Amino acid sequence: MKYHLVTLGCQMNHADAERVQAVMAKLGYGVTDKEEEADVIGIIACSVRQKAIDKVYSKISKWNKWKNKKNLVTFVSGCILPDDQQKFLKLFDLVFDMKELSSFPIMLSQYGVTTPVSNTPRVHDADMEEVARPASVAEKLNLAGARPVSKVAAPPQTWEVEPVYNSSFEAFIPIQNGCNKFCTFCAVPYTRGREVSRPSADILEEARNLIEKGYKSITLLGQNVNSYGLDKKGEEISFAALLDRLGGMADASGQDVWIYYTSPHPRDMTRDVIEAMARHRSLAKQVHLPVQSGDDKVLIRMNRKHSMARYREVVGWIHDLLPTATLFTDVIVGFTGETDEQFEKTRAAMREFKYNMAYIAMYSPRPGAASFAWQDDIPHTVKKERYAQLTEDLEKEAIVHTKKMKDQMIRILVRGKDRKDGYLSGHTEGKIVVRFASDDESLIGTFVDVKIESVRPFSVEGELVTEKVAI
Amino acid sequence: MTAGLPFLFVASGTGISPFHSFVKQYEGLDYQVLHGVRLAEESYEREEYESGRYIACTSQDEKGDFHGRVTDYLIANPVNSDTLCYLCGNCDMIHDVFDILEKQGVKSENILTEVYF
Ligand code: SF4
Repeated sequence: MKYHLVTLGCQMNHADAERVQAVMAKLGYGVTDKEEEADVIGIIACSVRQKAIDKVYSKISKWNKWKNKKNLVTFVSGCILPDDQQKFLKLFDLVFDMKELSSFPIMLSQYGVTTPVSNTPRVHDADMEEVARPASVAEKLNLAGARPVSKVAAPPQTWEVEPVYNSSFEAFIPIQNGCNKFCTFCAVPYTRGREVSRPSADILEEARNLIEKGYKSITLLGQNVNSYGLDKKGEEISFAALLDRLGGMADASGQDVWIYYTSPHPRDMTRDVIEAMARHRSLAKQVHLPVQSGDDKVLIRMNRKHSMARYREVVGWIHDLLPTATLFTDVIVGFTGETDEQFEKTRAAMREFKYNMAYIAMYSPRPGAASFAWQDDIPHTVKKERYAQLTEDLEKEAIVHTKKMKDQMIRILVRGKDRKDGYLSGHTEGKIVVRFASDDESLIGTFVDVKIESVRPFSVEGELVTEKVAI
Repeated sequence: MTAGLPFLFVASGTGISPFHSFVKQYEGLDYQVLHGVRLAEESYEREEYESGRYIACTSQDEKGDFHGRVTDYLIANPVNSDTLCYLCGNCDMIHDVFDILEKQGVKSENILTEVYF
């Protein structure tokens, strides 16, 4: 029997999807990328973006039509607003919160689905639950003095299910779920709920396993990683201490790995996080620090809870302690009420912080977010002009960085075939895209050295010099 | 906690809700609460605060402690520049109060905001 899974939205949803895949595999299902072949079709949805939610509705209406001709079970989970959840209940066979993933096998069996595993003689709920139970957790290990986690039973979380990793060299580790920040443009606090931190010992165990298996790139995921541990009220280590332990363990492992994290928050970022990054070679020198706007008044309206002075202070630490680090950011242009002068301040921020990369978005109100109730008063044409202007500003700054790479020998992690025929591509430690001529797919997932010959603002091209090096 | 420094809490409507647990948590705080409401009957959290520390600024009746908006009150009663200010509630109110406080010499890092609506 086969299942097909559609994943929409951010990396957090993709990490959740890897855990759903693990449950399906343990239930005996094979995966198919052809939805027509599947007996069970699921979707990891994202209510945060309108386009993604529209896609869910279009997919389910198609799948429901197929039910006239074949037996098909559909399910939906992920980041879902209560309104959408109510509608999904009428459209999907199973709707569940990611926190209920460990009960998913029972839901499937109670729905009357004979799973490949349940076809074997003994089928009891306890067995089904076993399928989705964590294989191993922190209590087995006494990791680097990790403190015990809360004595109060915490609600179950997706990370309690061991994932099936979709890549053999890069992996995402959820360290925290939910967000307490309530930025006015964002629905995440309403879809994922309040911040819950994963026990540090479990994170260290998952990272240790990945490093032992030879994973080269590991990204710690959370909506606001800097507030990691705070929900445990003194019974969990801080994010800086977590990074320090991970960095120490990875450095000592003798393996080559770059460890990243996303996303930090300028208000909660602390200097000791940057100090930890500076201390350990395995902690990749790349920081993605969302600025969203360069104007204090817009930041207030966005409820970002920090000023530009605070942002400047954090970037100052990065420049002082990590002089080789690349700096990425997120920006929203055309947020409700953004004046020309306020937009000019965002342009000034682009020049001041000299980003290597920025993910620029034109504001669009998201159902469920506080700003959805406000008039979206910046015309689309103005948003487009601001978007184009800021992209041009970014390119001017980014190319200053990539020009410095010209003629240099740069170490990269090869990630796959490039869109350009006969080329492979990967990224540097600072996540700058590098492509080089080669069709040797055995290089994918290894570190190589490339001599850079030509540069563009956000990517560079060069010649492969040394294969399969150590970092 | 920045001991001894004066605190100013400015709220509009339901933006008042975070403040009373804050003052309960830190006993002996030197604080003033400005609550912007339309009518005096909407100043429903008055009893949560010590007498004299809560000022209802009513814009549509004269039964509050001050007739006018919180911004009018602040212009008539400037704060010390070392005041730690927390603003919570409507975004336009927060923007206006932010400007007034900055003009009165309060540093932006001492003005914390929470936009509710
Ligand atoms: S910090 Fe803001 S933008 Fe990020 S998830 Fe939380 S509410 Fe959304």
